[in-house]
Amino acid sequence: MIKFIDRLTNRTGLLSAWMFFVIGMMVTYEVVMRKVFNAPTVWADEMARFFQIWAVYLASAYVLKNRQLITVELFSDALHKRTGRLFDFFTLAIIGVFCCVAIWYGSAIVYESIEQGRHTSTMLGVPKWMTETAIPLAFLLLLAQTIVEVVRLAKGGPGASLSGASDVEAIEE
Amino acid sequence: MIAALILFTLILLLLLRVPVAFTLGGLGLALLVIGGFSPIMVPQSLYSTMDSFELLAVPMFLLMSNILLKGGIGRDLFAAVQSWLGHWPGGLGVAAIVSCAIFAAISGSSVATAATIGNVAIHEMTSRGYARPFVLGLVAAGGTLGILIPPSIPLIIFGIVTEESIVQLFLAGIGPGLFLAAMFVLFSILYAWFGKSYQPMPKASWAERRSASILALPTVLLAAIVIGGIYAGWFTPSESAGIGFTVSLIIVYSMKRMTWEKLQEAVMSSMKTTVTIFLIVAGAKIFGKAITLYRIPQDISLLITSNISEPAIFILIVCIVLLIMGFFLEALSMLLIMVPVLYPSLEGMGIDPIWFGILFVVMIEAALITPPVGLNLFVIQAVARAPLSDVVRGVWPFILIMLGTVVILWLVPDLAMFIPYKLDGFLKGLSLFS
Repeated sequence: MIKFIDRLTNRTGLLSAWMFFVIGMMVTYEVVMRKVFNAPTVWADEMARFFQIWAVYLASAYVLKNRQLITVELFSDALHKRTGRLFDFFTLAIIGVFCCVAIWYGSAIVYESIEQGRHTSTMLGVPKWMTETAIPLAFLLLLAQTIVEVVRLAKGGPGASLSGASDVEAIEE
Repeated sequence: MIAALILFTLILLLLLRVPVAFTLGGLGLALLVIGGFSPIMVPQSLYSTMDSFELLAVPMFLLMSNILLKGGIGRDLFAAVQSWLGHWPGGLGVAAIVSCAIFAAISGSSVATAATIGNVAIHEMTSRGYARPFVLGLVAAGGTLGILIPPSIPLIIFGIVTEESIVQLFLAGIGPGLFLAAMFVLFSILYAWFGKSYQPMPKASWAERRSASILALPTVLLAAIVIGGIYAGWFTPSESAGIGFTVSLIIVYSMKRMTWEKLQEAVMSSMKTTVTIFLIVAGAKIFGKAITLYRIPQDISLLITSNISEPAIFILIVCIVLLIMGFFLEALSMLLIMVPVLYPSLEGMGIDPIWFGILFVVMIEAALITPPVGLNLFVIQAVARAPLSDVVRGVWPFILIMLGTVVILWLVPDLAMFIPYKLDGFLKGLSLFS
């Protein structure tokens, strides 16, 4: 189960990364169509935002799993290992509660939008639930990953700790 | 009273190593619940924050600079600048700063700028006898130009939080960015002049200059298109960034510098940075909404305007608070926590929000290189595999230069405001004479 969720998280991270790539293509296409061919699209702007909502939240589990969340590491080095672990549990608890709220109330919004048949007020008129679903779904994945991290932390072992974030990793050439 | 309690909890959570995004989001959620407001605002805010075309500029600029980075553009850039300026006194230092400034025009992040130029310049400089702390400090500080010279991620976020024009903010960043770069250059020259511990570079031949410049030319042109296009009003910042991303792909592929693996790395690393930043933005939105419901920004604004009559004192206090926060908080988090609280006070103080944004970013730059927590210090430490104490020893003159720039920005607001507000009129005036 843990392996499954880890793998799912990595896959969605990859998916979200390429979604940003596709957004770039959409934006370029729109600008070229408008400036060069004087034929602006009706979909590019809205689809770009549509993708952005999905991509950002889908990848939040990936960001947690890969220890990319930004924290204040003021005296991490001075921390006792056991205290550090306690802090990590505390963090995961906060993330977990936050996820539950986002899932619960996020689903309520989706449910309401489907029931009332809400659409975006643009030319495209996309049904609202198609983007709103991103919130409960993505936070469900984040919740699953949070639980995985709790289990990993309880078991101990290398790589379980939440700190030791890799500022360096983003920079390697 | 409530404000103090919230502040205390905020700092406590941060010190307990709760990630900034969830400190803000969680605290915001708690405030909503305690105040009897519906938590449905949480998913609503999460949704509305990302439903923004302006925000798209962030991943687009990141993709653009990461793709160029993986294509080895940093090396080309440094080589080209060095071939022109390397023989000056302190020439490698000058070349490093100028490369940082040029790279800053395609990158909105100071970390990327510092890492890119650091990777190529540090070894070159130390092997020529430049003192190690000076070299490390120079590159750490030069990297911070990345967020002042447009494009700039903090300025995009500042514009979104305050609903000010990102274009004006970008344009206002150019003057102070170039000024700061010039001061760094001056310092390098003076340092070399009096230090004399380095070996000067031989002057490069014209053939060398030409071949080095040709490689760097596409990047420089791209930077010109991206910023020029925004200035001329051809594209919005997000569109400009999107175009920049596509052109950067064309550049690295036509130079045969790209492989599938490198592209994948660039795309993944852009995603990681984007999502970490955006989660903080979303958390800050929830937090901001909650404290607004408690009327805290309004109260603070009232407190400030009724106690402080002088804008100068207000700015001084803001700078001191930012300096202290900068010791332990990361740059964007600082912006996202402080700006919503301070913004309502600006109008009462008669302070231009665009000018304030630039001042804020210069202070953030200083925060990026003040120990113990300064992202650029860590980056340079990692790139150079040097002890942190070496970087810290070299960086303090640059912190002083930055604080000096803040003072000058206060005395001469036109340093920032000339390009966005007066350049057009100035150019028209010139054309009347000719």
